[in-house]
Amino acid sequence: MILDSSLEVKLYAKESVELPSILKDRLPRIQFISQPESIDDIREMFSYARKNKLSIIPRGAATYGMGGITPLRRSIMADLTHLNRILDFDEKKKTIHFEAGLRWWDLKYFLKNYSLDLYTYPTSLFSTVGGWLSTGGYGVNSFRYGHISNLVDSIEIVAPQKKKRINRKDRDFKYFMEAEGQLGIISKVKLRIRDTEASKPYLVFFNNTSEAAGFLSEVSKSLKTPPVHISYFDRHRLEHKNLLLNARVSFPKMEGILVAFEDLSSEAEFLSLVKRKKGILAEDYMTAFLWNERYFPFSVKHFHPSILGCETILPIENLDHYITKTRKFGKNYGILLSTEATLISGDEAVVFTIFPSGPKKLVHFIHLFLTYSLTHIASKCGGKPYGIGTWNLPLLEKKFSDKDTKEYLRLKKELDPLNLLNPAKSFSPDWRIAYFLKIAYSMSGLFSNGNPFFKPFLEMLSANHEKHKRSLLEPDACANCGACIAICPAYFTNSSEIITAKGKLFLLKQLLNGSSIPEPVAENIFLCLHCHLCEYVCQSKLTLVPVWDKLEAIAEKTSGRPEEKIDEFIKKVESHPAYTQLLDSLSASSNNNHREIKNV
Amino acid sequence: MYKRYHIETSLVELSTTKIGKFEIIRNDACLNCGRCMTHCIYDVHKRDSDDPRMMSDPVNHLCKNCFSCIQNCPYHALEMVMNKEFEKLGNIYWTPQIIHTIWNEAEEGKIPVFGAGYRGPFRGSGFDDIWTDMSEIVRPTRDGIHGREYIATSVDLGRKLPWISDFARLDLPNSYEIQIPMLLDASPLGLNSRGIISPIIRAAHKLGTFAFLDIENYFDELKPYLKSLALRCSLDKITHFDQSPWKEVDFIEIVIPRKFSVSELERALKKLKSENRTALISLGLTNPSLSTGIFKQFKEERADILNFHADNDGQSIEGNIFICDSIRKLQLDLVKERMRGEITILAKGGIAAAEHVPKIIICGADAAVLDLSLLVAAGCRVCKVCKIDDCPAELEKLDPETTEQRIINMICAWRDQLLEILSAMGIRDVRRLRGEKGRAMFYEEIERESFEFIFKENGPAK
Repeated sequence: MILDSSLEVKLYAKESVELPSILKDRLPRIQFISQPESIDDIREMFSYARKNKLSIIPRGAATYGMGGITPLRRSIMADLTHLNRILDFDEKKKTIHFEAGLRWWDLKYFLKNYSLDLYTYPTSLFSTVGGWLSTGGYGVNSFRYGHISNLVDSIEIVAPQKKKRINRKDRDFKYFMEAEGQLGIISKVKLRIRDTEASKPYLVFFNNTSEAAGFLSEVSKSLKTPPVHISYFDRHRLEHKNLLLNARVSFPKMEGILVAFEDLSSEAEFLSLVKRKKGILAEDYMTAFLWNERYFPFSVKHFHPSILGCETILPIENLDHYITKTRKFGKNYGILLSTEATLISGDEAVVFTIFPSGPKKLVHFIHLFLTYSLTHIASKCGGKPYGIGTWNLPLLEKKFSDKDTKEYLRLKKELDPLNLLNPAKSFSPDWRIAYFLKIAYSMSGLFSNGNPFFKPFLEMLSANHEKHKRSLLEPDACANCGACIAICPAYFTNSSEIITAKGKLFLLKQLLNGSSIPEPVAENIFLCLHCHLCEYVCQSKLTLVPVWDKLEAIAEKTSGRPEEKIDEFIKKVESHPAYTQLLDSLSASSNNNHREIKNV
Repeated sequence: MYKRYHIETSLVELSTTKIGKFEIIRNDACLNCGRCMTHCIYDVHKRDSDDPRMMSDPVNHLCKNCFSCIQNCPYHALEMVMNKEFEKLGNIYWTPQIIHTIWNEAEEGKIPVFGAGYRGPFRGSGFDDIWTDMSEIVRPTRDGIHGREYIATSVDLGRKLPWISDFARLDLPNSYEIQIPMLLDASPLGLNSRGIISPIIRAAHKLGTFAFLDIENYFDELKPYLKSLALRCSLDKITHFDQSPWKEVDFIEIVIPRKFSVSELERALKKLKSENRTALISLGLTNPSLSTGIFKQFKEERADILNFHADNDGQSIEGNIFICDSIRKLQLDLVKERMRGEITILAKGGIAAAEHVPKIIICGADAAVLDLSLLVAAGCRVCKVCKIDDCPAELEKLDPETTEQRIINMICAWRDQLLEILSAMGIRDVRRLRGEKGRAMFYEEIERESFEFIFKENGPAK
C-alpha cells in the first residue's frame, strides 16, 4: 500500500517530540508512505528509491524520541508495521520467529495464550520489535535480563544490496542492534521466550536522593537472587503520578524505588536491607499502581500536553549528583524536572528526565534548547546518549568508539553502498546539520549551570500559560505511543493510521490550526465504531469519544456525512477475521488480564 | 376432498404487550462491536438505524433469557435484570409468566421458547401438581406437529347412545364434532363490551368451535355466527325460549344457581326441547357434587352436557375445590352411575396455559372452556381490580381484527402443544385421553401413598 496524501504523510512523520515549525518546514520532504507487507515489497521499494534518487526512512511505531525518522533527505517513509506475521513458534524450545513489524503488545498477547511471556519488553509496549532492536533495547526487566539483543537468536536484514540472516553468535551481530535503520530493514526476528512468571513489586520510599542512591547501589549488587527490575522515581516524577490519582491516595513527597522480583528467595534479605537503609515500604496498592504505570511513561501528558526531556545512560554512582544538579538547573529556569531511572546493570541506568513545556512557540523553542543543556549535565556526570537519532548527533563520539564506527561503516558499505537507508544520521552525518546541531549543543552547555537573566524572561513569556486552554481537547496531549493503533477495529479495514485515534487527534490539530481537511481524508473521521477502546488504552487517559463526535460535526458541516461509506465500513469491520480475533482476545482477557493493560 | 384441519396464523403485534420478563442493560463499556447482534437469535440487539456504528437499545420484550449476548459480550457491557413491570403483571394464579406466555402465543401463534433451560420448581399447586406421561417422546413418526401420522384433536359434544336397542329405528341423538377440545367464553370477566364479544365469537366461528354468550349480551350483528354460539342464561332469568335467537342456535346452556327448584328446571328444559329440537342442552354447574335433581335431568335425557364452572383461579365457587379435583369427582360420579359415556363434560375456569387442556382432559373433561385466557390474548394484564375505563391494555379500544387473530393464534399454539403432548404419550386421538388417569401422576397421591403410613392419623403432609 502507498499513502500519499499530504496529511497522511505528515501524520506518519509525526514524532513524539515535535519540532517547532520553523525547523520542521526546513526539513526535506517525505514523498509518500510505503507499507511493505513482504520482502519483495521492500525490494521493490528499494529499487524505486534508487531509480528516483530518494532515500528510505524505516519506521516502526514512531515512538522514538530522538528524531529517528526525521527526514534529512528527500525520502520515502517505510511503515513496517504491516510486516507483522508470526511465522513459527516452538513451544518446546521456547523460541518464536516472526516478522519484525510486530508490536510487542501483540507478541505478549499471543504468548499469553500459551502461558508464555517475554523476558524483557519496552515500556512503549505498542512499539514494534524491529523498532526497539534498532533503537533502545532497554526496558522492563532489563536489570535481570539485560539488553534485548541477549534474547535475540537471529535476525534477518533486508538491505539494498542483499538479504542477510545474522545469528547472535556472528561477530557482526551487535552492530545490527541499535543501528537505527541505517544498515538495513530488520525483516524477521527469532526471539527467546519463557514461561510466564509472576512479578512481585516493592516500592520503597526514601527521604532524600542520597539515601535512595545508597540503597540503589546496594540492592543492585548485594542480593543473592537479584530482582528483575529496578527503577528509581524521584519525588517530582511521583508527583506526576499523583496527578492521576485522587486526593485521598497519593505518593508522599519522597524518592521512590521500585524493585520487582520473580524469584522471592532473597525477599527477607531485601526487606532487611530496606530496614537498614531506612526505607519505608509503600502500601501494596500504591506499589501495584506504580508497577502498572510501567506501560505508561507518558501518562502525565494528560495534564502537561507538551513534555520535553532527555534520555541518557548514566553510571549509578553519579545518579545522586545528576539529580541534585538537574534540580538546581530546573530551579534556575523555572521548570519542574522529574527523573525516572531504570537500572540496566549493577553500574548503569537509563535515566529519563522530563519537564512540561508551554504551548507558546517561543517558550517551547527555548525549552527544546534547554533539553540540550540537560544532556550536557548528564554528559558531565559521565552519561552517554541512550540513542543518537538526529538530535544526539553531536554526542556521536560518546556513544561509539572509533573501532565501532569503523565496523559500522564497513557494514554500511557492504549492505547499503548507495546510502539509501536513513541517510545523514550517525553513519553518514551531513556536515551542515551536524555543525548546526553541534553549535547548538555547545551553546547549550553555557546554560547548563543556570543563566541569571533567562529565568525572568522565561517566566514572563509563560505567564499567561493557563489562559491557553482550548475548548475541545489538547491534541498535543497525545503521547504518540500507538496503543490506539494496535487496538483500533477501524484500522483493520484501512491500513492508514489516519483512521485511528492518533490520526484523528492529528486531524483535530489541523482543524484547530485553521487548515481544512480535504474530503477524501475527512471521510475517515466517520469510520469509527465508537468502541471506546482507544480511550481504554490511551496512555494520556484522554476522553476521546466525545471529541470524535465534535470532530464529526465539524466534518459533516463541511463535507457531509458519507452514509454509504459508513454502511460499507460496518460490514467490512464485522466480517474481518482480525476483528473477530480482537473480540475473542478481549473476551478471553476481560475477566482479569485486561486490567493490566487498561489504565487504572 | 379431505382437508386437514388447519388454523391460519399471522403475526399480530400489540404495543401494550411489549413487556418482557428481563431487561437487558447496555452499559457505557459497550464497544458497539455487534457481537450481541450476531449471537442473539431473537433480534433483541440491533444496530441503530440512524447511525449503524452504534448499537440501539435492546428490544427487551423479545429476550428469551438465553444469556447468549451476555456470555458473548467481549467487554461485559451487558447485564440482565428482572423487569419490574413484568413482575407487576397478573396475580398468584395468573402469574406474570403465564400472561407473558399467552402474549407470545397470541402474537406469533407459535409454541413459545423459553431460554436458558428450566430450573424448576418441578411441581406446584393446581395444574402443576399433575405430571403427564411422556414415555413415547422419542417416536419419530408421531412427532407432534411435524409428524407423518395425523393426531386427531377433535371431540364430540352431545349425547352418545349407551347401546342400540332397535336398529330399525336408529334415532341418533344430537351431537356435534368440534376440531379442538376447546370452547370459548365470549364474555370473560363478565365484560359485555362488543369490542371483546364479537372477536371471540368470530374466532370461534373460524376455529369451528362454540363460544358461550350470555343472552343479555346478545346483539343482532351476531346473527351470521349463530351456529357457533352457545347461548347461556341463568335458570332464574329464563324468558322467551320461543323467540330468536333461542330457536336457531345449536347449543344452549342453562346455568344452575345455588338455590333452584328441580321442577322449574325440568319445566324449562322441556320447554327448550320443544322449541329447539336440534340444540345441545348443557347445564352449567358451580357445585361439583351432583344433586339427584340435576342427575335426573341427564338420566332422562333432558340435558346432554355438563359444564362445570370454576372461578378464574380454577376454584369451585362452592367449597373451594380446584377444578382438576372437581372434574375428577364428576367423572368418577358419572362412571359410578354408568352414565359417563352418554354425556359430555366441559370444564370452565382457570384454564390458563396450553398444558392445562390435556391435563383437564386427563382428569375427565371432554373439552375445556377458555375464558380469561382469551382476554389475556387480547392484552389483558389480569389486574387485581378490573377498571375498564382505566385499562392498561386499553381493552375497550381494541381493534376487533387484531383481537380475533390473536385469539386464533393463541389457540393454534395451544393445539400444537396438545399435539406435542399427545405424540409424547403415543396417543393419536385426544378423545382417548379423556379420564386416562393412568397417563398422569398426581403428586399429592404419590405423596400420600409414600408417606401415609407415617402420617396416618394426620393425613398427608402439607
